[in-house]
Amino acid sequence: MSQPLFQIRDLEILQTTGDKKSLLAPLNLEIQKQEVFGVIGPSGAGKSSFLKCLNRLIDLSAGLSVRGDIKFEGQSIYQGSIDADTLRVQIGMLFQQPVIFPKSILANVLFAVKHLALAPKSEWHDIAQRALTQAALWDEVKDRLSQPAQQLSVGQQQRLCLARTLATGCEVLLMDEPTSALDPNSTEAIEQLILELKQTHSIVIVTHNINQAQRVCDRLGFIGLRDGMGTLLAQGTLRELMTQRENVAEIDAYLRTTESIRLDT
Amino acid sequence: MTNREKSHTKNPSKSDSKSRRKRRLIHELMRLFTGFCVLLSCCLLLGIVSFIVIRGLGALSVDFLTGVMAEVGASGGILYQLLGTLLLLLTAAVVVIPLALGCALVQSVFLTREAHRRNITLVLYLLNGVPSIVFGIVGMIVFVQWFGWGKSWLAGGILLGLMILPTVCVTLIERIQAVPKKYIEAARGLGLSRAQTIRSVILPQSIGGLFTGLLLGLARAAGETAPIMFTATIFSGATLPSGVKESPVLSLPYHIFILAQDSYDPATKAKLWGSALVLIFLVFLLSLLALPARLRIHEEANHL
Repeated sequence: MSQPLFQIRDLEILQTTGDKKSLLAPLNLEIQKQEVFGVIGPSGAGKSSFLKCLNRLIDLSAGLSVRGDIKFEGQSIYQGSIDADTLRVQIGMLFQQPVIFPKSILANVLFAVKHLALAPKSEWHDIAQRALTQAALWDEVKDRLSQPAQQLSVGQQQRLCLARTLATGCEVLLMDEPTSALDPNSTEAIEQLILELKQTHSIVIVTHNINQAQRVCDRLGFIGLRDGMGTLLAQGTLRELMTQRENVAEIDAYLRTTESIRLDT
Repeated sequence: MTNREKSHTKNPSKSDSKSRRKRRLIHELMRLFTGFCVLLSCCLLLGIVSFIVIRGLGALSVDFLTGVMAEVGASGGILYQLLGTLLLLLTAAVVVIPLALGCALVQSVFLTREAHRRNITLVLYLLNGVPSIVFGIVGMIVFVQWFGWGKSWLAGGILLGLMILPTVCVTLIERIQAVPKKYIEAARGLGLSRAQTIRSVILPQSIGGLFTGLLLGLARAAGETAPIMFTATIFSGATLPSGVKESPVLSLPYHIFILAQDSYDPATKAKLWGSALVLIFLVFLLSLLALPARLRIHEEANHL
């Protein structure tokens, strides 16, 4: 059996200030390569914080500390001597709100390539074209690459963010509710992209939309609030999660609050 | 009175209307008082400026700006006083820019503990509160005596630079903290290190604060006499320095300080007001420059 992408062992998020309570109860999970793994659950349960643990972006959050460990492709990222910046180049991240730097479209796509010196200047244009094409944005922006990126619609901005991440050549993508700020058309575009990128990339996506989870995810983890802590209460395919509904009250309560879903056979 | 307040008056009970009258009285009194304060400070500023302009305009000429002082200040111009002050300001700018950048980055980027950040801010405010004469005396002990420089332009420039460090640094810190966290998170998420994030995100968006603070600080430093009178400047007998040791310069504020002591002589008095006008013009110029410089740099950072 091939090595899992992420092997999460007793991962815990603790507050270092205030009442020092635990935000995420010890969590054990394996995420495989080339799969789209979805994280669902009510808001405030720590889904985003969990996602940020995977590329150590959680290090930036003041007042939080992480216990336990994650092995990324067999290598420990919390206990070993891995460089967090190198790790974040390999594991790209897409945020809830598209974050566009106040620069041109081209400068945004090449942001990491330029500042990390990932490729010689002569290759920049090809890299930008490839990344924008992968993000299904090339045809819309190829004639105005030097214009300010803020002029793009929010949906285009999110795809630009995706292109910027893809330009680094990362093979893993973390997405934190990437469509919650978008209109239905843009949402569909992003979902379509996830299904295409799945051939070449591994994706972990936090979503609050169970229909979206059904459309794009191979497997799901449900993080709910139990005793005031985010807790991984179930994992498996959506179908398996639905069967857990009777056993786990939190899942039932969550599904009641979300849109009713239609399960295709 | 706004419409909202009016709508409340439709059915007033007696005690209600009494307290309302009281409130309005206080309101009107406060308005009068604050208006008076604004008027007073504007009048004071206008008064001082017009006073100096009226007295000093007569002395102002091209010869005054490009000529060399003669007859112990009673005739001639202020060329070397002006150049000396500009040299001191330039030195102060060169000294303060790296110091302010370093302090601001440590305070707002490198330190993660809130308590440590507060300590640096506290030190900056304390430094800002040190009287300028204390800077002068410390400078005299350190540079003039201990380093053995004698009176030197470099000592004056360094002291002025240290004196305006809090102004420059605090302005820069405020701008760095105004950089949206999402940009920093996005840059770090792409794998940029802290140093790379500073270079690519934080500095381009906050460097305008450095220039604003610098110009405001220099506007203050231009008129300071106390830090330079024991360390860097003399009244006559100096041109442009050629070295560091025993190389004083002439300067506008010290020139004014000395001339003021001889102001019973009408010729000296005219030169005194002329010098004061030039100094005030220099300060205004620096303050005014701070505005468009800030706007322009901010725009560049946003539309690159």
